[in-house]
Amino acid sequence: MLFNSIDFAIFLPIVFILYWFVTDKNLKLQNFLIAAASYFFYGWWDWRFLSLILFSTIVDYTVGQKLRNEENQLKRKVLLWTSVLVNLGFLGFFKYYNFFLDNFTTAFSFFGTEIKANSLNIILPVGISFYTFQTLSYTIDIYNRKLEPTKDFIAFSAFVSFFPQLVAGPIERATHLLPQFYKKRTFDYQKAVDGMRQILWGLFKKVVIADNCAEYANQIFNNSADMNGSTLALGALFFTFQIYGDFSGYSDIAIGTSRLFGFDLMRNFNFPYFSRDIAEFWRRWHISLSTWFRDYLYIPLGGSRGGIWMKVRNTFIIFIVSGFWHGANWTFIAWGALNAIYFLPLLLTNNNRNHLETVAQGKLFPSITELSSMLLTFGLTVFAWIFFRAENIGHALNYISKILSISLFETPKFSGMRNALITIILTCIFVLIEWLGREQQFAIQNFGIKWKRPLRYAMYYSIIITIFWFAGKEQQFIYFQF
Amino acid sequence: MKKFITKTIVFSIPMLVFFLIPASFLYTSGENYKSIEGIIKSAPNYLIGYAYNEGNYKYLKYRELENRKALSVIALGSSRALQFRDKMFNKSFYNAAYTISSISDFIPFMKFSLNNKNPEVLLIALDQWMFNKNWDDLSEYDLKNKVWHPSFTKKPSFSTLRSVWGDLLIGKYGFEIFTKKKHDALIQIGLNSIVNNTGFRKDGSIYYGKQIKKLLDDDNTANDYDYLDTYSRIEDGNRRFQYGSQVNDKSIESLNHFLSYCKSNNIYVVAILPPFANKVAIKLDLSGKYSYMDKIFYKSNAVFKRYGFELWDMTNLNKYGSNDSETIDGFHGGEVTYLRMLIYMIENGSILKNYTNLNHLKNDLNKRKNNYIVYD
Repeated sequence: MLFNSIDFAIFLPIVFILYWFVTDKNLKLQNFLIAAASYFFYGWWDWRFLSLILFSTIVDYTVGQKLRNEENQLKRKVLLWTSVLVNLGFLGFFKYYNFFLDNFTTAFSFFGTEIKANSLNIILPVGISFYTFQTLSYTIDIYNRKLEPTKDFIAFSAFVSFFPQLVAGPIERATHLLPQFYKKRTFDYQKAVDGMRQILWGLFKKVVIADNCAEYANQIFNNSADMNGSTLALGALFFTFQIYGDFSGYSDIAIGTSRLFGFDLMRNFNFPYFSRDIAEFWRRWHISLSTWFRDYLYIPLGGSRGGIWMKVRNTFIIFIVSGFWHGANWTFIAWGALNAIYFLPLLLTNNNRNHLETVAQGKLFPSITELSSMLLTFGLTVFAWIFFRAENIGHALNYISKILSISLFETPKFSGMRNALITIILTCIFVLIEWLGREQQFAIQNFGIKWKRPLRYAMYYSIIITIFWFAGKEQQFIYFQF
Repeated sequence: MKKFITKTIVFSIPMLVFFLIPASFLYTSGENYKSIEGIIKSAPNYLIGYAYNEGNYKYLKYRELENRKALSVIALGSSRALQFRDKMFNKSFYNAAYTISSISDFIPFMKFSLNNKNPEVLLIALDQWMFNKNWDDLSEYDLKNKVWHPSFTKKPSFSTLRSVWGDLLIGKYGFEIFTKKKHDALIQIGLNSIVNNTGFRKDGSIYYGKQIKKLLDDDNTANDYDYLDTYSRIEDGNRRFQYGSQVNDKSIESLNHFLSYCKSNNIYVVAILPPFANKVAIKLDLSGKYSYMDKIFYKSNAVFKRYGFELWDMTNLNKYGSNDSETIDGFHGGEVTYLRMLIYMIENGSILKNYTNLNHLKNDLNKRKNNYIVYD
């Protein structure tokens, strides 16, 4: 079920009413409702893959129970690896099987050995990368004795399948989200209103910004061989805003929806395109995944301790794995490696934690230095997105070489330029609002909050009408495929 | 909690009204929220005409083909091949047109939709603009990666709801659709079918109900009345009528690739260059900006001959006894035009003679209902 669908607009109020009016007296029943609603939400897309989530839930719950009383270190390790192998096994099969098969056969044919291997027609279960990582965090934290295993299977099921963030995150940690299922939730008016506002802003990002930008990004990337450099540069910019609007919009709707049910999810985006260097960008982009890799991969590998080579190795590992997490394609690996190259100089010169606070805090305009740093970082990010969006490495390289040609100075040319202008204007307005609201959790969190009700409602209706009127052609959320 | 719910309801009422009104039109007409699977399987005839979900036609045609055994003749192309009817043939026929807009679409369509049920004959319309680089530049990406994939939109998108409001406000239709009596013997689905009596029949051909009625009444609100809209396209050089002097070499290559595919799959291809109204043809000629059109037959016919297939230049209506009074608009002939065309082709040696009965066709032509309609 898509957040930007009529199905969800019907589903959400029904679950909300059942949750607060029918099951509110009984915590177990309330958690059961969440689990059931979440399974329904997921099954709406394809019920066959519900068994995967259920199996993963049972395995991790059982491993957790066994780890509770197990003191033998070897046995604890075996239990941990059981969970890791089951979860990553599913992920590996559904997401990476064909990739590895194709690359092995290509590699062997390079050495003159022809291997006949049939790739499988595998459907990638939506959200598998997200819930797999979420359940892994549970077993790893228990193994590291940072978390007590739960005895409540229903609460655990609800934690694994929690519908607002099941298919595209934020990837929650068990230490943060699971305890919220143990406590009785009380309705908080302010929190719910805040949640509604965040949902509204998320919808705007997705339906107006991402879906409209997607139309032109797709057109330009799909026909890049016939486009000039300036059009391709514009295509990369369209994709840059598409992916941000799409993914951060989804996160906003997920966080807002959770708030309606009394839950707090972690922040996933913090205005990343206003970053002053790549290190800051990675503290602000897909925060739940970056911190997951930091805690469960980078730090166990030694982090930034040790010599230069250790730092270089670990940085490349984390960025390449992060790239590979996004999909079974060399383009994602290249995207990860490129970001590692951007990041390394900052790490090696100890400049990776220079910008911890919001840019131009308390000011309306940034300084010239801040502005130029932001533009440079933004430019590097846009460049890296080309690899992320391209069909293959060759496509990305051709795309870039055309951007770097003399045709960059020609007038952009593609079909629907006039409508694209509307999208560009809307995107500029969006960037402006994001800039003004960059010190909040989401851009319109406090926007007009002190205005009189009619004026405030007028603002909300204006956003709704803009969503309705400028809605782009409905596109699936990009991160569903990851 | 009470405050939150009350405020949410009060806030949502205008939105609900805003959404429910267009949604009710879409639901009542079957434009959205209605599956066509059952109708495809069991309805003897229907008129499916979407106003906002044109993409569904590809799905309709794909499912109709999937639901049938291998056919003798399949018509394929854009809207300009839609006037061929099953009643014109004495062997199994389906009109799968309106699924192709570029030469590069043919092979992807066939690979996806025919699924080892190749027809004996493929009757195709090659729109003249398919050979114009300024309309269809046949990018490398399209030539290599194009896929033909049908999809069915059951639920309306925001833009559909928005379009309903737009059309209601300009009076394209109104609340009468809730009370309008539908044709007794016909299942009608979609706003275009219910409001304009226009849509696809069971045999895949199109019925231009309201347009034909307007043409018969000489109503100047008919689409492209007196070809004024087509003239404006020619004057502006847009909407398929982009100017061009040369035939796109890539289109000939693509055509060659397609014919080679048909040959290797034992499919015989009969192609037409579809007609323009005479007045439009004169306008095109006088403009001097469409010289690529004059070269299409010569360049393409060489490719057809290479494979032993047929190409018929049907651009000129007079050639087969039709005229402007039988056209639906500037670049669509009516059913009568297409029947005349078929008779001409058979009389001049087309393989289609094995799939029709010439005497019956002539008889049908004589008994035509009016200038636009031959059959029920």
